[in-house]
Amino acid sequence: MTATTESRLVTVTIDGQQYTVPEGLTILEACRMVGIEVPNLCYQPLLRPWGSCRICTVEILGRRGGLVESCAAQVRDGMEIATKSPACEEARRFVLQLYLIDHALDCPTCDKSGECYLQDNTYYHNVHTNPFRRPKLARPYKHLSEYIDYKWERCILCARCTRVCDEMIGVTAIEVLRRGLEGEIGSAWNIDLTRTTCTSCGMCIAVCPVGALTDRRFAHHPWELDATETICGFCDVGCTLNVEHNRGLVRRITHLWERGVNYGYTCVRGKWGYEQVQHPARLDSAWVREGDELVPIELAEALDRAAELLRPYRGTAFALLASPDRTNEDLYLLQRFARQVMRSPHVDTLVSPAQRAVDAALTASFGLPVSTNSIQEVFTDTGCLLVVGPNIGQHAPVASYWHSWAQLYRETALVVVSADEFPLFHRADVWLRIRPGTEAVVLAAMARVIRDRGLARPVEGTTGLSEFMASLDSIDPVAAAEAAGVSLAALERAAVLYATGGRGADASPYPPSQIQHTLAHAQHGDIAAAALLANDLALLTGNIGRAGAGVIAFRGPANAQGALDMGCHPDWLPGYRSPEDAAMRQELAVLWAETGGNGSGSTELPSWPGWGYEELVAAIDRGEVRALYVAANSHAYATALDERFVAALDRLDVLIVEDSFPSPLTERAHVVLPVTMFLEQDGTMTTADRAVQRLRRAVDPPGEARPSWQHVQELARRLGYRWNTRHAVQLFQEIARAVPGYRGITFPRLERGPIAWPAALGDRARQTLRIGQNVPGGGWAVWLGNGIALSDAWLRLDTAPLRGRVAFRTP
Amino acid sequence: MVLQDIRGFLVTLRHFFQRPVTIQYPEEKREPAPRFRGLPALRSDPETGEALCVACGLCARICPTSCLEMHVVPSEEGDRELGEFILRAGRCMFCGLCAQVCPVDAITMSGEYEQSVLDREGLIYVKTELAAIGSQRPSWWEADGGMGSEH
Repeated sequence: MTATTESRLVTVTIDGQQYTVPEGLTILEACRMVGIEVPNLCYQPLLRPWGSCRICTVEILGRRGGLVESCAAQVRDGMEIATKSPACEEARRFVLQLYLIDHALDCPTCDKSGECYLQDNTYYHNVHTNPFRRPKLARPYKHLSEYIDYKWERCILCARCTRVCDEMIGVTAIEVLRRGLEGEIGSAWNIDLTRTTCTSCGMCIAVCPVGALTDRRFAHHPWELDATETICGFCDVGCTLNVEHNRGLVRRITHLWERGVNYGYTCVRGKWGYEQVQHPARLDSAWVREGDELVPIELAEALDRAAELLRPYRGTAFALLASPDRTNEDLYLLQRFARQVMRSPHVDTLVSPAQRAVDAALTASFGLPVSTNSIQEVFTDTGCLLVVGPNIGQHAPVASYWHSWAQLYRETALVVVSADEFPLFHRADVWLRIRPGTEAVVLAAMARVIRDRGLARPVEGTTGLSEFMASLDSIDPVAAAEAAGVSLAALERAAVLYATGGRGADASPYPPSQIQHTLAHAQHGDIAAAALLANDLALLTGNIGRAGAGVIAFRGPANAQGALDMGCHPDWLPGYRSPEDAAMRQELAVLWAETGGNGSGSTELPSWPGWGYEELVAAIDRGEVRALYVAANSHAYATALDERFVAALDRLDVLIVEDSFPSPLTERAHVVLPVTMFLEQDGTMTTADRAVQRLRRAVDPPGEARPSWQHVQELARRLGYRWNTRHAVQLFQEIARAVPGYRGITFPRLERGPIAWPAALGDRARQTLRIGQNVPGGGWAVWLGNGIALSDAWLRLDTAPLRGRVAFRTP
Repeated sequence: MVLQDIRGFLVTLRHFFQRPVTIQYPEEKREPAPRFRGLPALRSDPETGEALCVACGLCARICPTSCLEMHVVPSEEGDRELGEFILRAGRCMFCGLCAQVCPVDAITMSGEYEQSVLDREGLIYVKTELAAIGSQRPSWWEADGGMGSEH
């Protein structure tokens, strides 16, 4: 189903009631849509029909041989469908009896018992005896990998696992081996899955309707567990996780199908990342330095000590670095602590140079360091996807699932520019398997090809176009292809596909093309230039300000976007206000004085941009910054620390470190404060495509670990400020006042799902904004009609003054 | 009057030649009836000595007073096994539902009835203690002394 298909409606009768449903739906989907439950085993939303389980059989009245598989048959106008007639009940019962001949029937010790589709169906269809009997076939359990077990005698060979692996994940690591009674699930030659293309995403376990594929780390009954819906904190795709826990420990992560930005799908980090959260090495108490060693201490005393240490360093000798996988509330209060309490402008995030380069490129091209569009538009509008940078299947896995899906079901052209190997890339329309670090060269050559073939349709009103066009003269596609180690023909084809939305030069109009890049994870080459050129390509082909188009940059840490929105950046106050603008500063100062001043009535904020990370390291070396507060989060998936930075720490007078794990930072710290991780606190995070989502506390933090905002609030109180927040919701209300883009977002609204900022707009702005209504899962995807543009204080979408912010930048 | 006394002494005299009915508790202990419901205990296979429990958790689920707590861990073979098994005997009402519901007869009602302790902590039994109590016991169903097999 492509976006251009006009959907027509058909009228069908289901169980004696007339319904009107869109044409092209299967009978099962139509029944689900109108709220009639049809039992099924092999049906999985988003995957193509398979029709192997024969449980979803329904009867079509007035037709000879009227029993059909509802998951595979489409509705026709005037069809009369019976879902509960005696004939289909009988057919289902018969099939269930056949399944149960060889089924292990070890329900009491099966992990799936209680949520097993076979168990449920056996119960609903009242199959209590089995006329078919013979000695059961049995085989030993198979360990597919360290995560996944396969139990043959429970398997019903519905192929949900192999289909999800093939169609959604795009790796095809498992298949149905052998045929007939010998059929089983496994990898090629039965080798360990970790040696195959398997990404250990665990989706095969997630979709298994019975207990055949099981999680090796899990041994509980589903009914013993409580569930909390929250957001994954390990990358900026922002997947919704259903965290199941009991006795204070997370036992497993399950999947809320068709919910959240990920529709329930997760990757290895989402599925098993909770092991990081309850790792035995987690910090659970505060430590202070006594001479050469760190000694444990009560948290309140550690905070007293930290406040006394920091007190003499108010002003520019203080700096703060925050890890961008904290929540928005944490990051907001951290920067507020630095600016209001410590009166220092030196605030930055703890990210790698590549991540910084990508932020800078987005700012240079679009005026703000944000992705322009939503990933969800891949489901409805995108005609061509250009994937650039290190293996997206590893750095933003769930986004790569949509590439696989869009290519299969929407025939979206997939163009990959990557040096890394990933099974999905082999299926791409063009995979430019470049030499590492040559992304910039290839993108520049693509721009040249687009220009030379007359396919350029630059976004109106941008500046710098002529300089950019002229700069392309120096690019030679032949030499570029040579340098990148790809063929010129492939490079040209990639350029044409991207410029024409995957249709070829003759088509008109061109569908939108989207760029999704992981350049922030790159290790080699000119990342800044590559990121700028990706933006320029989108501008050159008219792919900005269009649904399904734009540039989406995956920047790694879970809240990389939120950190910038909250003002954890030397150049920006919250909401991208400039500290040099007195009016902006005053507005914020009033808000901060109102919600927690020091009693003097006014708060003077630093009026100049602070030092960024690079300058900070140099300033520490020079001895100009002498006290540093680092809110780190050194879990296994965190961005690696820069050695130069770690070495500089020894020169500090005071180093206060918040961390979740022992790290090189805590070794050098004077005071260490234990901090919570994402499953242990309430709050919000913002995804790579600007969707604000709600985190919920699933389990208690270890020991005295607290969220960052509580630590800095305690410090601020000890330093004379009346900060008095009791819950993240209060902080979020303050954020919604301080950050224009977040206006209109509230916790109750977030309960219903993600909201992409900007959320609340004036009437004038609303006219240029389109809300995606046909996005599966709800109409929350938001894109802007005229590129991203926020004025300094308020969200304005007047085209004239803001067009200038969207510009071609010649690297 | 005297006759009355002699009658009384005759009863004494008759008992004097019978075996005494008093049991010298605690030196000597009375054997409870075969289906007596004492402390629930964990059985092991009488031949191999291996624990019978498959860690399905049904006993903990059915327990009306929630005095059983079962911690299950994934086993090496890919199955599940018993991590820890806790009986809070102070809360147990000896109903025997746990023994009835067990699909593999791994839990049985033992003849253990001595439960005087100095503090309540002593009423919390763990897996090893319960296994020691129940290791040699027949399953509750077989412990009927040949009374019949109508169950």
